[in-house]
Amino acid sequence: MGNYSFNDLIVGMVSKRSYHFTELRVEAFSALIEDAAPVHVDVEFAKRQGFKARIVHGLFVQSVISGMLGNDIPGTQSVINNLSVKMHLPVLIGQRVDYQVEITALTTAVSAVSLNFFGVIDGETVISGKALCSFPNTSPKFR
Amino acid sequence: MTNKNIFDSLTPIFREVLDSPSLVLTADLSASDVANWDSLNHITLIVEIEALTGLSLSTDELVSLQNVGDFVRLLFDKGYRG
Repeated sequence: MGNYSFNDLIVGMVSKRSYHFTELRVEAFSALIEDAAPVHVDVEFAKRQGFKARIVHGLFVQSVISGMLGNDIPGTQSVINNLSVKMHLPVLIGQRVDYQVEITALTTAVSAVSLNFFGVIDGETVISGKALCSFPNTSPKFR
Repeated sequence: MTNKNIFDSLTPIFREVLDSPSLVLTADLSASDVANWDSLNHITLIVEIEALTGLSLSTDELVSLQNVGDFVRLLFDKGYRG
């Protein structure tokens, strides 16, 4: 668990995780957010759409990044301000994604942390993006 | 005129970050005047403005700011010309 203060962080710090999108997990996510779109739950439908199997919800694939930001780097003391994400390829149920998050810049005046992230399956990028996180109660507004 | 250049260069950032496409930056504009100007968006503003200007701002410098005019003066004093 990354219980860092802002001053503990340095540019280039990296966090890695591997997440297996099992059928059980995808079904749980589908129930949790009440998204039973057929491409996620109906294999025949998914195949008619051109996929080899049912695909994982895009937001589920992204959600692992949230866990890495809030638990690894910048860690438990931070919150997410912005997240911009590009989905490159669908993730099929049963696949494992290897994620990496890296700190690219630190903005001391407001204790903000800029990060890049990506996820790959067998070397192919399936998701990438940028995040901006901060440590709450750091900077006054113009009032 | 130089300050006008700074206002002009900051305007697109404020409009995008605060999701306020018609926002007009004035010297006396402050966070209490703009609905979306909360603490999270404020941090994004500072990060984007540092990226735009190439300047590094300190917490002490930001604490003293009361409005956009103060901020523009700070940027000018640190050498930014828009």
